[in-house]
Amino acid sequence: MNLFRFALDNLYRRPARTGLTVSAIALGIAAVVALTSIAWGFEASWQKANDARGTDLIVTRVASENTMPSPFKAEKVQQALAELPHVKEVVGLLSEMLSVSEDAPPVFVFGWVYGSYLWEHLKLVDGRWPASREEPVVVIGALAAEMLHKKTGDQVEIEGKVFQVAGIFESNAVVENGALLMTLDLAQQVTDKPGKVNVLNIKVDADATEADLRNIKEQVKQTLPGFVAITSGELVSKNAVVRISKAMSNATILIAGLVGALVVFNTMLMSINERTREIGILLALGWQRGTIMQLIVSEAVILSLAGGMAGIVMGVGIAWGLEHIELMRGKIDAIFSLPFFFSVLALSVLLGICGGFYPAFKAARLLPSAALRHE
Amino acid sequence: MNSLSSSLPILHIEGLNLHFDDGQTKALNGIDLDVREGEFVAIVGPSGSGKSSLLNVIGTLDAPTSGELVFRDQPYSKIRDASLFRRENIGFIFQAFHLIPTLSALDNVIVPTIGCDGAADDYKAHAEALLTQLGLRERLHHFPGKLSGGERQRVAIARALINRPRVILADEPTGSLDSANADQVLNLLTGIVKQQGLTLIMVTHDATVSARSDRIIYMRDGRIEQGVGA
Repeated sequence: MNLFRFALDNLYRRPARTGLTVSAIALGIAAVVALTSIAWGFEASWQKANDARGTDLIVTRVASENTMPSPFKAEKVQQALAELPHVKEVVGLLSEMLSVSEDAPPVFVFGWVYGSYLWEHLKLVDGRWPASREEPVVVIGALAAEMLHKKTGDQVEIEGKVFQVAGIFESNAVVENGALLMTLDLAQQVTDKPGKVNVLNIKVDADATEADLRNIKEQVKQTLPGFVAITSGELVSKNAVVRISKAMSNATILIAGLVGALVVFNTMLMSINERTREIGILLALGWQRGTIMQLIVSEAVILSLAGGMAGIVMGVGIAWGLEHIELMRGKIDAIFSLPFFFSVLALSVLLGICGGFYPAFKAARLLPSAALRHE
Repeated sequence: MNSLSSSLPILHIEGLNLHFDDGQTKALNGIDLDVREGEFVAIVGPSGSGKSSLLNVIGTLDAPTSGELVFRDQPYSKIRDASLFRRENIGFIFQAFHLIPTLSALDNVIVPTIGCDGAADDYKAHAEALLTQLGLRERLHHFPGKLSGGERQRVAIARALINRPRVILADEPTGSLDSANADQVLNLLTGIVKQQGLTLIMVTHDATVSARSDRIIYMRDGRIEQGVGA
């Protein structure tokens, strides 16, 4: 028998209340885990897509804060960029979220410059790549093929135009795996945005240093008003959707923390009111007030920790479920990590301590004789 | 009794008052009492006479309004940590047993040692020895709900003894028991107390219990009735 086991026994004494409290905490923690992992995953999947392509810098409009920055005429900007030192390749990219059939959720459609380095990181698993800039075919990501029930040779209709599926590819980035890919020329025709791109991707030569990249950024700032050159990480982090999802995740952490602490507070307050006489007995038997506080706080922490662990399992389940519903497939890729789980458990312990402190303090201040007389 | 008369008082009480409601209620009113080491003192008197209040003050569960209490050479007023004082010196036995229902008999006995220095195995061995001595060897892992009243009170006695106190304060320990169980509990309690040389102060309504004490203190209206008793 020790303090921990005694605390466990006390919680076990009221299984229904303990279960309800743990469930309430678990729900809050699950929301934190699911939203945070999705927010991080959303950010990471876009960054992974950009990184996988081998892009060193992305040029976009200064004020553009969307996942798909607003399109602009690329020709002059592209020419100016190509003349900057150490710039090896400048290629445009156009992307849209489009419906490809009536009964399927919208998917990303990417248009990439035919023959550019952007295609190099993809792995063709079936069929072939487009044979020319103008060939009316698409290649589709493995996940998109599964979602749309399409295979090589099938047809897809995009914005009223029919394209044949030339091949199926795989990518490390979930947003590419869930997307359709065509040449930039075709994409500009389909979306009625001739000559326009969302971003220009810059690949620098092998000799370029960090200082050279900074120099390119500075040159863009000075010579191309209204445009900015940034890394893929910077583009993603300033993305409004990423920022909103992160803000929602932070708000959830705050709300879940407050609600969790209040739930623990309420449970422990009820518990010590019920056990007033028992606390009086413990005091009469020589328990010190500090030991009483340790007992109550331990019970609160056990409750919140159990809720935290259950919440992690539930949160992972919710995130996994969201990843796999039709509407979201191929668009989010929740990220989990041990440090994140430990942080969540630390949050659980913290809310247990916060919620349990006042009831513990109240219990420790009871007068033994009055507590013993308590009915 | 005579062998005790020469021993030093373990407890000296002088001019003890315990008042409530701004002095409207006088639970204890000028108590003077010396209790010698190893003495068995029975406190008797009608309900509301202040017996339990006196026990509570001696056990530091209540602080007196005024008066002097000295435990051995230590004035109560100098006690910094009443909980520690109770743990080291006082063992409580209650009429209603006050066992924790979710703990086994053995764990109930060990409960007062939680938070104490010392090895858990030593406390467990001591608890087992006490319960065995009290005839509960076969009931170590039984929960209070599965024990008879007499057995529960024996567990409570073991719990009072676990920290090796010098004074046992018992508030009507046989009050909830039938006469056979009461007799058995009393025999065991007095036997252990005598064997270990402990001081026993017991509140009781039962004349057969008080008759076995070394001294009987009669209380009425918060006072000790002078000239009455053994």
